Amino acid sequence: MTATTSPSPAPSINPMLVIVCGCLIAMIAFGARSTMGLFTAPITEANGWGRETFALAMALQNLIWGMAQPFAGAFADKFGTFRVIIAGAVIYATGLALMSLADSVFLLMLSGGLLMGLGIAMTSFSVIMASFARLVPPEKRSWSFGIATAASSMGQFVFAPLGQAFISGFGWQIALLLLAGSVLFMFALVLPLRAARGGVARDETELEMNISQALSRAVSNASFVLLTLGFFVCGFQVAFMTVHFPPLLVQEGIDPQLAAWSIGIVGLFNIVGAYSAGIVGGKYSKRYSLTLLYLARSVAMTLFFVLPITPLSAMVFSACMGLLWLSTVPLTMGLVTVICGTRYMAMLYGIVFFSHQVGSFLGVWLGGRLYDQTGTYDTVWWIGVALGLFAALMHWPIKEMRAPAFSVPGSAQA
Amino acid sequence: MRWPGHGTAGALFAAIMFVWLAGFALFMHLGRVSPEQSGTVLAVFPPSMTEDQVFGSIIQAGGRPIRATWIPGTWVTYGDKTGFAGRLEAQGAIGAYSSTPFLPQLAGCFAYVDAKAVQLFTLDQ
Repeated sequence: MTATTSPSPAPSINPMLVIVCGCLIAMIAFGARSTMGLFTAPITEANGWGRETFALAMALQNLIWGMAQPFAGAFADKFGTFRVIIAGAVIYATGLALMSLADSVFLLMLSGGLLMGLGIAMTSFSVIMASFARLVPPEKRSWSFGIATAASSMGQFVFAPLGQAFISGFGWQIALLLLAGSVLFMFALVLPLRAARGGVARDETELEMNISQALSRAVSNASFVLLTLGFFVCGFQVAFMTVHFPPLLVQEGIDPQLAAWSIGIVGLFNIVGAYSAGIVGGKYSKRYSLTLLYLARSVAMTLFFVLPITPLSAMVFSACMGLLWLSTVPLTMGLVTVICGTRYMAMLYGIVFFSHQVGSFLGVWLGGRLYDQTGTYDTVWWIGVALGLFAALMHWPIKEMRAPAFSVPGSAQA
Repeated sequence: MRWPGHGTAGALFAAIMFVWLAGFALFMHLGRVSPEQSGTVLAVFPPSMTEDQVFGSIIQAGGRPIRATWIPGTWVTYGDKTGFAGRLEAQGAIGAYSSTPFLPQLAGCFAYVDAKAVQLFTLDQ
């Protein structure tokens, strides 16, 4: 194990091209998967399956994504973003293309579940942000995380109506092939990110170590563990809201049209929130920002539930939650970078992200389960509020500085 | 080396929106059902038309409105005579589309297709 004595030599890169292409990859990766709900009816009706069959494939996809993210990150750290995204795009596109042929549950699980989950893990914003962290100077890092997250969010806006238009115009099978084609655009977009391996932005305080050393040092670091526990809550709250909030509004007597629009409002404000969080993280303490963010979520959820639920309150709440939605991502990624450095950040963020996906799964599952048992969302709503407070408590004591185990002795930095 | 900032972010998002709008308009144009289509179709009317005007247009086209959707100006309609889609467009509809579910997507980091949620946003049932 040796200290990095000087930053890696700066390869020739075009900063504008790096940011733009990275954002477009994140947008495609996030966008294509966000159209999957649109395929529920056509695929299940074509094959005579229940909708829960398709739901299971999507749940599998997300769990695979979560489980594969640390490995995808480790490959990106070791072999470079370029190779991982190329391989990921091939797997992702293969999954989409095979899904168009799915005539058995096994093929659906293999294509829409396993292959897509792997492909998403290898092309998602986690890998993109890690490459940004290595290419972008430290003072621009948080901003770059914000714009990558915002671009991912924008993918949902861009691809959902496009997916609908594809299905409407060409049928669901051709629509999946068109989506597969759009994923293959990543081949061209990833070229400017080739320089990410080694990078230009590693600082002199980072210790050289291998992957297993990085992993064992991270999981034995209290701040990293607290961050991981806190991100579980993000997953729980966001996934629960995504799936159960519109039905909750309808149950409370809100017009279904308005309930549907509430999701759009969350998505719109999410773009603003994610980008702003990147800026905030570059100027202010990331751990305090995350603490306040989770507190704000709990306050918003509490106020919404204790006050009379009206169309206005539903819209205001949706806007608030939108601002707080994926704004956790640039701040959490930023903290991983601060604590553990940039060398293995893709893998280490993958570990944190896995916790997020477990929380997501539980948020969706528990929401449905408790609703079925009690007939209301009250219990799981209050669990969400309590978890927000828990997450705030988890982030407060995080030490926002390079962990001694990751820094050259005597060079620990804030 | 000068790194981009907010201007780049704004320009990138504006460019994405521009390309998206152009692409979406194209695919919406290509995605319209044949003018000869009858049966249940999704009719999209200009936002400037009132509900009464939309209702009247559907009747004039020889069909009947089944229900409005959560998208303003978009109605699930039914007409059993050939050429219903074409007549809807002649009566002012922007286009007529096959009745497919239009699900608002907010995947976050976890897209889970829930039957209850799908049911809520489905237009054709």
